[in-house]
Amino acid sequence: MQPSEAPIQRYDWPGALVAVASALLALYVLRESAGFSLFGSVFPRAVAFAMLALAAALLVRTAIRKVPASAIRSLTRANWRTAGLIAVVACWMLLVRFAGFYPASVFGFLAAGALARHTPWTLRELGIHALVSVVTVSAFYAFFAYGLSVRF
Amino acid sequence: MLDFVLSALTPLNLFLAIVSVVAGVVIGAIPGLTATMAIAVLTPFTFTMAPEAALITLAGIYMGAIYGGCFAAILVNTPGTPSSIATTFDGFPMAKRGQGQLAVNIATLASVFGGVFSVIVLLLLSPPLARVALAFGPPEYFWLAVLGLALVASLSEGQLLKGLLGACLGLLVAFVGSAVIGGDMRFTFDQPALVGGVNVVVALIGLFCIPVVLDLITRRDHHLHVPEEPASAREELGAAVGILASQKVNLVRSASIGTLVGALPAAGGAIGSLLAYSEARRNARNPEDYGKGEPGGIVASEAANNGTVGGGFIPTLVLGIPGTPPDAIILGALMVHGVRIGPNLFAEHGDIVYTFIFGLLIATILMLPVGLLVGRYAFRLIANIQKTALIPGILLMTILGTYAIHASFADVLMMLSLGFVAWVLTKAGFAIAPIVLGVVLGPIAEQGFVQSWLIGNAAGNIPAVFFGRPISIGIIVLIVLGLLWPVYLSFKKRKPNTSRSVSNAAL
Repeated sequence: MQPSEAPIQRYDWPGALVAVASALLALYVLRESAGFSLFGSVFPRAVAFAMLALAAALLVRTAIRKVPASAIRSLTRANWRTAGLIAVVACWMLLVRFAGFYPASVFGFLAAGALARHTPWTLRELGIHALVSVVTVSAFYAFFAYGLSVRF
Repeated sequence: MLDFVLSALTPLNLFLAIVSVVAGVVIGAIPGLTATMAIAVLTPFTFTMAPEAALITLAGIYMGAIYGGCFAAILVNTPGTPSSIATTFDGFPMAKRGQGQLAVNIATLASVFGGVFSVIVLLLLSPPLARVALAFGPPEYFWLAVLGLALVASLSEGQLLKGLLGACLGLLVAFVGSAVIGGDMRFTFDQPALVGGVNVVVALIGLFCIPVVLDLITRRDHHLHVPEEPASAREELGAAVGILASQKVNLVRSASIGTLVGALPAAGGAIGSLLAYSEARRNARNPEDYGKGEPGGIVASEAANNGTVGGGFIPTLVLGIPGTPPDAIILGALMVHGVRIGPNLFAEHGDIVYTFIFGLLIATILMLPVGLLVGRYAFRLIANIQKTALIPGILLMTILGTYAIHASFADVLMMLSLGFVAWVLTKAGFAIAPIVLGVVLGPIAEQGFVQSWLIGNAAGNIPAVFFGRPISIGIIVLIVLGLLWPVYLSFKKRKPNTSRSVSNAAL
């Protein structure tokens, strides 16, 4: 009988990095809260000390114990589409400033939808997508602007 | 009593109940649009109505919106309201493997049961439960918030440390802005937009929605699995009824927990549903299946969160202390209609109050057909929608929903930033729920902590205030049990191999 293959083990470096970042954040909270009143600082300081303890424990655990490689979801799994979507959302937000909510949202819907497709577009599909974008954004915009009286 | 039932059952009241439940379900299903917002927007329309009709309308919207949160939680992994956070744990995994319709049906049936249960308790046991709520002081609220955080952290299987650290990160987000006691401006970086702090719903949307969207775009496969031979509506309903029948104890326990927690002013549906979820998991024969698509998890969460609706009205109607923000708005509406809240309410305005309670009951029962019908189409729509429309659709709803809260563009930027950070944290193995709970419970925990600390300081014995009160001790025991539970489970799982590094693995 063949022995079952043991899963690959790795150190949880992403977890350790977050632990270090959390510890730094806790130190920042401790430094900033020194300027607050007693009422305003007592709880943030308590939480900051708890964070320091937890971050230290997480670092120790990372150093002494490996975890299955499958448990670590590396950022490298993200691909150019993720970066593209982040860029689209950034442009969407910038456009809101210059062009207004409605046109910016039509652009954002169109561009995010275009990125989401993993197969090539035909001209007809692109046209339908443009139509869907305008109709969907118009419907939601109308619901919020007129139904819920949200001022854009 | 029959008069009140008949007065709630007039054709106009029934019509208003149906319309308001449908409106509530639709609003609750959209991330960003909460029950509070729905009630606040629609309250002015009820001022011209008769008091009974107005209150039935508001009750229908409230019940519908709390229940509607389960749709987004199950189908898009985004809780429509904080009360639905625990529904995402098992609802979304079920939807992903093609059981979305079944998950929605289970949520509907559990919600209706939880809602009806809490309304009956409201009808029969209001005065004694209101007295229990009064026994909760600042230390008890502090420990209750810690219990919520500990429970959700312990649900991060094998990642207790990361869960607790995530909860602390959420608390840090809650510190931004004006301090709940003392009024210090904290961590605002001189930005006016941060003075008011980070809105809970803004954080909820960003932390849950954005990581989902960023992961969805990289995948070629469909968002939800669509079964090749879908079961008929009757078969799906039969299966859901069967599951609920096998979860009787879980159902009653969760509805009771939700009602009791709802009766505690400001505790809210998020704690109620998480507490019920944690208890369901602890008492289940298959606790390892929870979080992977176990129907019992949905039953617990939904029965409890709708249980908080009736429970929340107990201190609202008996003591004039609103249990939740929507209760506060309904309290205001009652006052507009000339109803004076207080211990004599049931004697002085029994006609309006009992009609309102029966209206609440009717609205809850109406959720059943409305939910089953809307649920079937919602699942089909979300399951069959192309990613080219789904991803931008989710983004559009999150951006519009966030903006609508305060008509603030800064909120949208905050939501997106928090979402990006959450996405990075998920890649490092951190769960989102503890972070969100930290944001939700931060103000309750801080207020309870600082007030208890002040009381202890004045009495010259701080530990006695925190650790010496009977209810506090009971909650502390629950916290310890909640934190030790994953260690015990891990111990049980590894016992056949070796006991070395057992507790280490659980952490």
